[in-house]
Amino acid sequence: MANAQYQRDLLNESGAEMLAICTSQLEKAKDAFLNHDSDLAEEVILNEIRVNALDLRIEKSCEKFLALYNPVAIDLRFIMAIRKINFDLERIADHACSISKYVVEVDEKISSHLFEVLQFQKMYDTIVKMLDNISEAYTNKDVKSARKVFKKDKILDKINTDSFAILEIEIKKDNNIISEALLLFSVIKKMERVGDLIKNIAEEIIFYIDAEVLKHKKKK
Amino acid sequence: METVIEQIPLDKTIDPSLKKKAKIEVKDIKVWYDDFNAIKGIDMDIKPNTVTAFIGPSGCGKSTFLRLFNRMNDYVESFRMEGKIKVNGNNIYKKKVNVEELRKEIGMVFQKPNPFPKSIFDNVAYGLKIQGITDKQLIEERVIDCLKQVALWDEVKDDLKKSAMALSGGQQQRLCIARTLAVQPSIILMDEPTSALDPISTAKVEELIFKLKEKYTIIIVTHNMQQASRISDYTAFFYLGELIEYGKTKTIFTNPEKQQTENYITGRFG
Amino acid sequence: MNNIQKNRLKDQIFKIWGIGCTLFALILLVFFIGDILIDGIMRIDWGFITDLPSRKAEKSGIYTALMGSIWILLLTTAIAFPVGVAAGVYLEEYSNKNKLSAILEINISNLAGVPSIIYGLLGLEVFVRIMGLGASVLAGSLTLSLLILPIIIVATREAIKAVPKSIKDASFALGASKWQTIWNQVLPASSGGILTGVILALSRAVGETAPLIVVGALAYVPFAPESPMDEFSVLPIQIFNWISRPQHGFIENAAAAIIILLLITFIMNGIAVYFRNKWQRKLN
Repeated sequence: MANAQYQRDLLNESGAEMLAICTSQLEKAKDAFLNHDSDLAEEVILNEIRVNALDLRIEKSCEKFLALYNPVAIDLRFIMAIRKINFDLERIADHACSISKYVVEVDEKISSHLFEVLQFQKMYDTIVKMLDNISEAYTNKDVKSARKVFKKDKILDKINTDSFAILEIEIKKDNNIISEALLLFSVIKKMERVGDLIKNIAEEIIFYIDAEVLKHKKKK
Repeated sequence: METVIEQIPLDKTIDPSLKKKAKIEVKDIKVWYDDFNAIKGIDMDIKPNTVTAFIGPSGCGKSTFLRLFNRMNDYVESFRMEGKIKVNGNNIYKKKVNVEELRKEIGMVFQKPNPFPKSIFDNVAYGLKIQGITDKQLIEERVIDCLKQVALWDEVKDDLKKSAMALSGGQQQRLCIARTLAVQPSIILMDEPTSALDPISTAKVEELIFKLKEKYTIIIVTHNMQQASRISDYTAFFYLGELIEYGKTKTIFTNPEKQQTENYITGRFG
Repeated sequence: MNNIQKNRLKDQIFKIWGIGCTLFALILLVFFIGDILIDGIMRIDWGFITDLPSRKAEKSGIYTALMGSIWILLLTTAIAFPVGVAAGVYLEEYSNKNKLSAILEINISNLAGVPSIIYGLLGLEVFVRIMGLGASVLAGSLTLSLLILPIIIVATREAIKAVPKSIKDASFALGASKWQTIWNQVLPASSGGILTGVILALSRAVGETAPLIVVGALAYVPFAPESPMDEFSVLPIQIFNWISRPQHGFIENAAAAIIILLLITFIMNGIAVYFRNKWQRKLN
């Protein structure tokens, strides 16, 4: 079964590669948005091609593995998990690309006051930590690290829920900030979505390693 | 001579599903060939009307264990065993048990198709002949019925007097199954029944096993793990004479309890 | 000359040597048969076969000797066939495979090679004298049965061994007893081999001279046997008798009788070959 093992290892590496690329895309996009850095934003947009290519490659490898090697038990769960993780990572990269497009298309820089009031930095930091947890969980096949993201996601949810009320107040204070506010609102929504996607990835990793299905269950 | 399982008189062609369901209990079975401890203490319960697959690497004792159920190991001089095998509560290894009666209840299909060098009809009728049944009509009905059950009837109905040796490998194996069915057993043992057959014949035999499950309890030894996962309800994994894991096939192949089992089914050893 | 050429040369040499030897044997056989045919074929007519032996060569026939041979053949078959096959079945199927049976197996094969005259002496002592059967067809048949028994036993055992174990397994798995398996599967499957062995053994018996002379078959018997207790003669003895006569006519008679004897042997061997081929085809 050496061939199957080899293919499986390759697939594992591709998964790690995808994780790394999408993480970096998201981080760059957030930096570009925070600092209104259009050069960085362009880089993210251009890199999207690489992400899509890797996504297709992984899909094809999974199909081949299923057809040729009849995986069962842990191997089967691995293939099932990798496909879903891949799908979610691709969508995270998509969000990163959209955020970058905002930076390129909109000229004005967003005021730091708004960022502060909406706890944008905290959201940003939380997501970075969640991505670290996932990376660790994936690389070390460690369920504990994966579980850490569930609590963090609640932070993101709260910031997202609060943002509507906060932006309402700020807009009433000063009408001119409406376009900034709408933009920021949009990005915060996207970040909350990214948090959800990271949570999905954590569930898939736990399924793969422990054969425990967490979808639709109450998380600890 | 004591009979192990209550027999319904065979002068009537009776729907086998009316027979008693055969429940099998294995209690602490150990087997030696001279000094070699081939089976080291196995407990197992097999439910009626299920297909149970025995898997494991070569030489782990699966075939030896299978042959315990119809006492075919008795013919090996160095064979020695301890423990009990109960079919419907009766220990089949008690001294008073009539082995020939036992084998009418528990039939066996072998790895290499082994039809007798006789006609197709005589092959299937043999089991009835040795029981002293002479009712020609009964025999003919039973032969036709069994050939139909194994989906061989259409292929051979034009010439039942043809020699069985002229059939293809897959047909011969189905004939051997028909022959076993003719004596109306409640349990059928199969020792790698498709390992000598081509993929199409294998598929036909597997389809047959799936159909037979309704009326019989089937135990099948197989080297082919995909076969085990395709057709069995329960799977038992053997290694070096021990039963490592036994459970629902679905569980064994998605999330086995023992690491050894997982290593074997994912091909990491064996 | 390199290796390839050397090997080819060796190949050729061996081929030529083989063909040569075969041709040599065939030519000898043709010569022998031809010689006999020339000497004796003209003598064979219906009278030859039905006449009793007489002092005059032209009037001498093989009737009594032929009848004697047929009697011996039938009686020996009746005795040796069931006894030999039963012994073969027992030794192969029922006896435990231990040291004793191994010794037994070796000794039976040895018996097949014992000079036939020894059997004659044994027959003389046991059947003719102790059992008081006299120089009868029965005594002769019993003696010859002893002679060919080992051959039949060995042939039976070999034929039974050739029946695949899988057939027996299948029979047992269906609930057949040991005897049912032997009677319904093993014997029918091995019947060709057994028959072949029996026929070959009998065709040897037909040609035996020495043990029958010892037992007391006479050279000059003016009547055909009518019961097993009668005295008798057989073809080989008749041939032997005629050859030792000085008159030329008897040489012709002897040649003619040899042709008849050869004919019987060839026919019996032919039947054996036919059965063996049919048997091998059935098992495959």
